[in-house]
Amino acid sequence: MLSRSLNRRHFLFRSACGFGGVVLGWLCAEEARAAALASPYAPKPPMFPARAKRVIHICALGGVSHVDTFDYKPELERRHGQDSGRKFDTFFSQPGRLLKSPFAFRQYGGSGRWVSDLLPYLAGCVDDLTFIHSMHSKSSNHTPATFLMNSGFTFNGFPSAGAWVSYGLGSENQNLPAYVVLPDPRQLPAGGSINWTNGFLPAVHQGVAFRSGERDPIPDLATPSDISPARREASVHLLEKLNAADAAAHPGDSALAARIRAYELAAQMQLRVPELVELSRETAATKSAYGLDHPNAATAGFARNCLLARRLSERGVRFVQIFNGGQFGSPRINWDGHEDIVENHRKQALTMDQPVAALLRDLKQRGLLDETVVLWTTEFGRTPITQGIDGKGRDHHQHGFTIWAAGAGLQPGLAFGATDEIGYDAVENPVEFYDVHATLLRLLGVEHTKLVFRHNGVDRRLTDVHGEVVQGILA
Amino acid sequence: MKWSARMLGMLLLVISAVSACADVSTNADHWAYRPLAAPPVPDFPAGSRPSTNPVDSFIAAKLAEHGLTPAPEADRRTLLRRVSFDLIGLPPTPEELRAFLADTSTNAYERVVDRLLASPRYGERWARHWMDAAHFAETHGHDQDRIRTNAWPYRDYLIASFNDDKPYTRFVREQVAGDVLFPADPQATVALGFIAAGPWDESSLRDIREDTLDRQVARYLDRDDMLTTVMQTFASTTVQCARCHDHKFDPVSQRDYYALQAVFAGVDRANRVFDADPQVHVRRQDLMRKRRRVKQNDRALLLSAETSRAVTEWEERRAAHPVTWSTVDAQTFVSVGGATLTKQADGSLLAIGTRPDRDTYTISARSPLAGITGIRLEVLPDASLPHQGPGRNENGNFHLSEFQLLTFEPGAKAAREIPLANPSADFDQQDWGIARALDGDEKTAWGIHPREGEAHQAVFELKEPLALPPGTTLVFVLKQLHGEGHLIGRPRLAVTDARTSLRVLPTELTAIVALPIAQRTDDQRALLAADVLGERIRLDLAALPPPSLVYAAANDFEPDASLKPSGVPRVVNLLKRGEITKPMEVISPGTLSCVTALPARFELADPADEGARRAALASWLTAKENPLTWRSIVNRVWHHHFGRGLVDTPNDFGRMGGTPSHPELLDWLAVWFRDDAKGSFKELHRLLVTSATYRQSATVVNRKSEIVNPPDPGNRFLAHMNRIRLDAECVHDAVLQVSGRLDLHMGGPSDRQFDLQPGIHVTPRVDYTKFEVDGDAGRRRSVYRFLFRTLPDPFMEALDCPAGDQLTPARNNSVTVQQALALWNNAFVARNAEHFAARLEREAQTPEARIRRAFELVFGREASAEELTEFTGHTRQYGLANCCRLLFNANEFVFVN
Repeated sequence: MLSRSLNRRHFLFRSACGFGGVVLGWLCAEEARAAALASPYAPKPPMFPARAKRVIHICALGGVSHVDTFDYKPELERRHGQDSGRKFDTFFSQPGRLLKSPFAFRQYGGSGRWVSDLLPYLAGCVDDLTFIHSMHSKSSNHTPATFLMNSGFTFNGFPSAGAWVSYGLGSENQNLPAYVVLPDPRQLPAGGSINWTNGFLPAVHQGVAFRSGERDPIPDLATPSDISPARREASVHLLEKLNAADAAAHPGDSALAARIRAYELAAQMQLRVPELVELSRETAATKSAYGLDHPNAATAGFARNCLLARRLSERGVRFVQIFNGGQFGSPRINWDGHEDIVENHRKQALTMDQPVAALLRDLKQRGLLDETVVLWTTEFGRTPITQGIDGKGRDHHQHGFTIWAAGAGLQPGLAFGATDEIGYDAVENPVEFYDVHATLLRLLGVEHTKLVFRHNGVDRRLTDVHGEVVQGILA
Repeated sequence: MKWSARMLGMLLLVISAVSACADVSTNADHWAYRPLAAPPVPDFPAGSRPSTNPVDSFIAAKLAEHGLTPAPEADRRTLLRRVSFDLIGLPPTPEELRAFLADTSTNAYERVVDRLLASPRYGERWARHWMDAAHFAETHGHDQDRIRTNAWPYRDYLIASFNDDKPYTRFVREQVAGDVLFPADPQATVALGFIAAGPWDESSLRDIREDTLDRQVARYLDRDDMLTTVMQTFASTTVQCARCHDHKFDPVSQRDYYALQAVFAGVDRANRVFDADPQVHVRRQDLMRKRRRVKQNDRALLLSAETSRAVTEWEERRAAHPVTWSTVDAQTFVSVGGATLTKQADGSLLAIGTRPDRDTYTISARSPLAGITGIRLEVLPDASLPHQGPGRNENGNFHLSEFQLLTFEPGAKAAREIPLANPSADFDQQDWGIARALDGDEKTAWGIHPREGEAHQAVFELKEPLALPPGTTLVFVLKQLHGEGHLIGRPRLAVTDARTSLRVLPTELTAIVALPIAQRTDDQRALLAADVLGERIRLDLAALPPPSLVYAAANDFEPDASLKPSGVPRVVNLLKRGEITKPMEVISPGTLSCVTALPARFELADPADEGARRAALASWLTAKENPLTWRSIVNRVWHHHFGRGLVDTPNDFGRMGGTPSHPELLDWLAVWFRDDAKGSFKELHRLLVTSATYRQSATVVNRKSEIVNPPDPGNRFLAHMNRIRLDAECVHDAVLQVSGRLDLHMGGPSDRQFDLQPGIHVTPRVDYTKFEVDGDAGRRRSVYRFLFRTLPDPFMEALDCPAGDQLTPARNNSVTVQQALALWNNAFVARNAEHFAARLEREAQTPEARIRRAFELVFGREASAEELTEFTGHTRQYGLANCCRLLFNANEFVFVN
């Protein structure tokens, strides 16, 4: 392992005596190219004062039922089993009848926000949460809706929010990627790495997915086992010399310098990442609070990711994205409760509730919540009616659903917007993901219409041609 | 007369174009839309190095204008390495380098260029550039990233096209409408892989309900990808910006956009049939075209004299050779489900008693004939059955899941199953046709709803006529596994030895045949003709050798779930604000109005002919008067040679795109390529890479003030050559070649360089780390790698290889941490470094000689004395393979000067 600090100047001067002693001349040129030598994650100043420094985005995939979690609808209890009296544009099968939530709702905290008994841990956090009950989306098909939630487009291949934030703001930590993704330990989401793609932005802004629970969370991070530290060290040294001599022969080329810098960063990451994912220094109480010791493997794995998210945020990683749920289809390993809402949502809630609540508490206790936005989203909600006449599940529903955020710059304990009495349409202050993205960027000190990248002739934005900051939720 | 109608059409077009483009028409004089005219080649400025290459004249003039001087010519080693990677994507071998250095003739370099252009490696290199532009990959992408087993023929088409130096006009026409314009050339059908190269939303276009909004939206978006691919690649126009409103910056109206949608309204992405043998290809395509016309109830065909003659002959043959059926006298008849089968006087078996949900009847009998060619199954009504039957379900229906024939010869130990084929029935319930009783799938079945209460029959032919030794027992198995008592109430079996067609006519056709010809209505004649022709086409198609498939734009393909050919082109509406819920008027096929030299709306003889729409677009694109096409392609080729286009946005020549650094040169090249080079890529390459501009050194020498303050920061004016990082394929292929492992075997299905396991849903699990790097599937050029759209190879991805979800006219040239890690630690590099070391040990004897050889192979130069000392020392301590790995990581390897 490359243990000594790779001080660029140090090694360049040292190797100046190496191949031909021409490096000194190159160094002058290098001054002029300092920008290229800077870390690709060099922090960039926000456009106006930022309320938040970083983001943790929790994506609950499959479509979390708003009327069974955070959007309490007494009217459904009154009209349970009745025809909804309106046309439903259902996704898979014939519309059924109105279904009251099979979960018991109660008010919690000083704010009195309603939460069902599906999420007892999160219920204890409501005074820190800011709910948006009036979400609506452009698609009721999982993948387009998920892409929309992450990138502002229903098609794949557009940069995700994390990539945009990395591109716009860089990172506070130059030895770790600016955008780290923690996929559900059970499986990658549908579309895999396209969900955290840099799209047409420079590749350095792509989300770096940490493979769950492995010693080597990033591909090719570890030196092959048959290469001894001494051998590696000597190789790195010799490569530096070779590259420095080559750079000296071609003065003024920033790409050569940038590549030398990339090798330094790689060496740093080889050092930092294993330390980062090593959780032995965390107290037993902390691990237990998150649920790392949970008997359910999916819960324990997700808990580990939540704890990692805190460690990443702590180290200044700008954007951490945690997925709860894997690919769509059967068997269900996400919130896609078509067949039986009780069975499905109980199973999913068990994996998510305790770890997310623990993350919120942990961030707060460490003072990190004041400078971090925690955003919890799902791609759409679920129908207030059953799927099929005598069904026990609910179908996809794009016209009204709930997300929440917590932390820096937000009004805690707030319920913003509302759906109608059965939870069908977002009727009060409707919000789309474009608005969520615009608001997120605003909290980070970035004007969403000004964060642009020209690609194939179009000035692309995270918010496409839409988006308005949701002023009503800002503190 | 014809002329005036055309004039009128033109006039109408102009009017509509003007009104549609009202707020954008001021942009029509933008440089990209101006007609092409070759500007004069400028004189060489005084004092500059003269060259006979016109490219150099334009470049020199611009340099002089900006007070810049060109760099000296690069040294020969650099030049050879540069042009080799550029033209064939591989480094020169030390032997090639030595030969070039030793060649003192004045045209030594030109001869190298000729050699490289003649190499099959050239097509492999340049096809990959085209695959980037087309966003080609071999899976669907989206959430259901299914494998396209038949995408690769398009890749081979591209390689062959470049190697054959196919003229550009033909190349464009084939990829947009090759099936229509060159029907005799099977490869012109394969070319349609271009239109289908991009992602496809399987869940929305195949799985969900036809009547959902998501389905309709997906259709528009699917066509959006097709037209965007075509218009960005060939015309460098961002027409897709006009989906929701008239283009904000370019003269593209929403009407233009939806006119282009209409061009592709008759095709889907699907497996398309073609034949490598041109004669078979033409024959099959003719038959398929005829089959489509039959399906579309084309009266011109069905009521033609020729068809009528064929029908009459068929009727005469049928009357002359009636099929006689011998009823089977059942010996044993068993219901597995517990029903009682009772033999009736007419030889039928009536089911009474228990009515199970599911049942299987096994009926055996001695054959009444010495040989048989077919079986008839009658299902008869009976007063004891619900609604008279013939089924036992409450509504009188039944479902025959599978039908089987077995024989038991005297002395045989086991029964033998006899293959059956060509099932037919007098009536098929919708989606429950008789073929489903013979498809080997017990979940599908034959039914007769709503025609209960009457007798029906089905016939199964034997694949081969069967001789029956005396005493042979026939065993008929009738599986009825649908459930809910969908069982046959009264079956009767018969066999025949007739050698004619045994097909049962649908009931309504039997009635028509019974009528004297003179009394038949046109509808009846058409109905009968469709059946007779359809059957003849089916038999003719079945007689052809098995076809090949290519994943391509298709208007005729096997249905897959709810993905079905459209038949006639689908209706395209202008969508207000691009919203599916706001359809406005229907739009007819056409293209951009801003190319004023050409009509923008297509006048088509038959609006239902989808191929004519694409053919019209292909003609528009390749018209001599279309300035976009010719500017676009020379700029694209320039981009790949120089690292940056004369216009640095190869896919966008609009107002928001780049402006040409050398507008005169761009136009001169466009006209030269079109008229003088006749669209020959190889001529264009030759012109560019033999120019003094291309042969310049990439090094800016020793002018410190200029290094700090470059006079032309992006090197737009090319006072020196650009240094370029090798792309992913060049790194990959060069590592293999240097290691002595490159397998030059061309073409065929792609190499899957990953471990593939079924996923939970459609998308499989793909693990690149489990791939055996040393295996043969890892040795071919990377253009033959299997390309997974959502699960790309992380090693190639780290080197900016695109995944095929976006059009990629120009790759990123990034330098990232992941890239450094991949080159240091990835098994591909590590294992090949070992192979490289083994090669060096074979080819050179002393440690110094090995290092010398290594430097020659990797960098194309000699190692200095100092380097020799350092590297032999390193080798002694850490091994030769480690040295090799290090060399693969060097900037000098990864960059081309």
